Amino acid sequence: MNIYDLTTPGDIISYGVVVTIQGILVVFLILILIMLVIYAMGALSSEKKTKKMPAKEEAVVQTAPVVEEAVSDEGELIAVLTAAVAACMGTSSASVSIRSYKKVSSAWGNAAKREVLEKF
Amino acid sequence: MFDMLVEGLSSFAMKTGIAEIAMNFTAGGWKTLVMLVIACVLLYLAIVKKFEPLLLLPIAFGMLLANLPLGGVMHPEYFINPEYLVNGKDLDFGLILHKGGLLDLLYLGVKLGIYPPLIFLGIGCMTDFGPLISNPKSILLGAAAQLGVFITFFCAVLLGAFGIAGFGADGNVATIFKEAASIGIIGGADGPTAIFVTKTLAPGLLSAIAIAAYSYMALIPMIQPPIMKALTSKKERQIVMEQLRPVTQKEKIIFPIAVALIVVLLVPDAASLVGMLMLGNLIKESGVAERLCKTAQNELMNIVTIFLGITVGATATADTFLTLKTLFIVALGLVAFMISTMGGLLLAKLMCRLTGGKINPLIGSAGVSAVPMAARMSQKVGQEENPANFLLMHAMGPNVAGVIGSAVAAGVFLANFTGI
Repeated sequence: MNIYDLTTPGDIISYGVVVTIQGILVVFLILILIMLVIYAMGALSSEKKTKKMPAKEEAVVQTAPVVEEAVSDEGELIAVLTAAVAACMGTSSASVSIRSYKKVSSAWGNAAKREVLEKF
Repeated sequence: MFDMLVEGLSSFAMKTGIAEIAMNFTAGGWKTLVMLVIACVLLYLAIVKKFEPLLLLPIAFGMLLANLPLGGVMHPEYFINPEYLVNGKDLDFGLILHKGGLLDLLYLGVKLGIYPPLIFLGIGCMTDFGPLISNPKSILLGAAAQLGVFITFFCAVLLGAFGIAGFGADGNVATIFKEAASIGIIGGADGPTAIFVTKTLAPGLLSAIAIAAYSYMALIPMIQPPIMKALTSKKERQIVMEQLRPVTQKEKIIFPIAVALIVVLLVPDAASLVGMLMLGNLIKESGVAERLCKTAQNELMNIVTIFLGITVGATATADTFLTLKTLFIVALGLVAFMISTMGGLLLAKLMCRLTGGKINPLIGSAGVSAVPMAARMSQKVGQEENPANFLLMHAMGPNVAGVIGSAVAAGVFLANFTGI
């Protein structure tokens, strides 16, 4: 369609409506496509994970030790806690043993999070 | 001897900008003064009120420099006046290179579409798409928040169709749509995108649109919270969302490649913006080109920001800026921001219902792409209701989706209206 054929205000407005609807549809369509791709990507990577869990974990640690920060291993968490307590008390970690640990109510955690977030 | 001195001084006085303003005062000299005052007000807003100072400061100073008479640093007419264009439409590069001032030459980077994509490269290097990848639904909020772009486009078409406020005054139907598209894109809340569309479709409106876009971005903390509170209930605002799943590096690397493929294949006009955004992100996530990442997000982006700001400001001449149209652009820009915010919130409310209350509707308003201000607003308003609620990362998903969404919206406009 040639835009210069539009002469009356009515024509112009109806073409405006067409472009408006077209625009909204295209934006949604493309972002929905991207969404589907992300879902597919997530499904593929989680499928692989369940198939050969231990091997995968090793690979991740080797290639990207900084990215993978989630502490899934309890031994690792206890080692971190031991080191933190020892550093706080100024003793060596050999004289500290963690018998049990519990996630406390998150007031302090929240305060810390808020402090970090305020920088953004 | 004395006569010669007087003569010399008086001829010097006649060549000053002050004489130029005074002698043409009624014929337009007063407009120059008004422009200088506006430039100073913008400088005040940038320096004292800290409104997006990184951009508004160079914009305002560019405006000041270009409006001081006889300086010759900028000739906006070389870029928009048909008399200076080859065949009335193409840039006369010979003229610009021979006679142009400093800012004319720097402005080529805007006119040829170089600066906005380079800024997108830097933004890509700073953006973490992780929150989006771990909650893919949130990308829809980035699409819903483009509603303001298209509704405002339609409002501006209405103004043009009825010839209100000088819209459509040149009798060219294409101009109505081009100007409407450039005004609508303010609702994308994305400065480089707005500049990219406007320099192509309606270069005469560039300064007004850039100033409106950046000012409203600075005003987001005032514009968004009232709308957010009006459209959501107290109970909805208190919803605590589930922790996001960790995203693997592999996903983060595939994402920019996939998005570039999809968007550029479907909307080729968005290629330079989305392409550079995704290149920047790939540089960051790949982790193998850290030096490039640092340069793109720091030095390169800062340099381009200075050039972009000062030249966009310099296009603000009295003839194009002191018009009723500018006021309407400022008003429509606000409408665009508000409707975009509402669009995101309403879809988020719907998603909240459909998921049985798993999504806090406040993250919807973050779909407008002003990163990270819009996401920060979701965080802030959410925390007012429930101090232990942390929505920031959940809101970053729609927020970065909004950047992609507004680039796609820009592509739609460019595909429809370029070269007609």
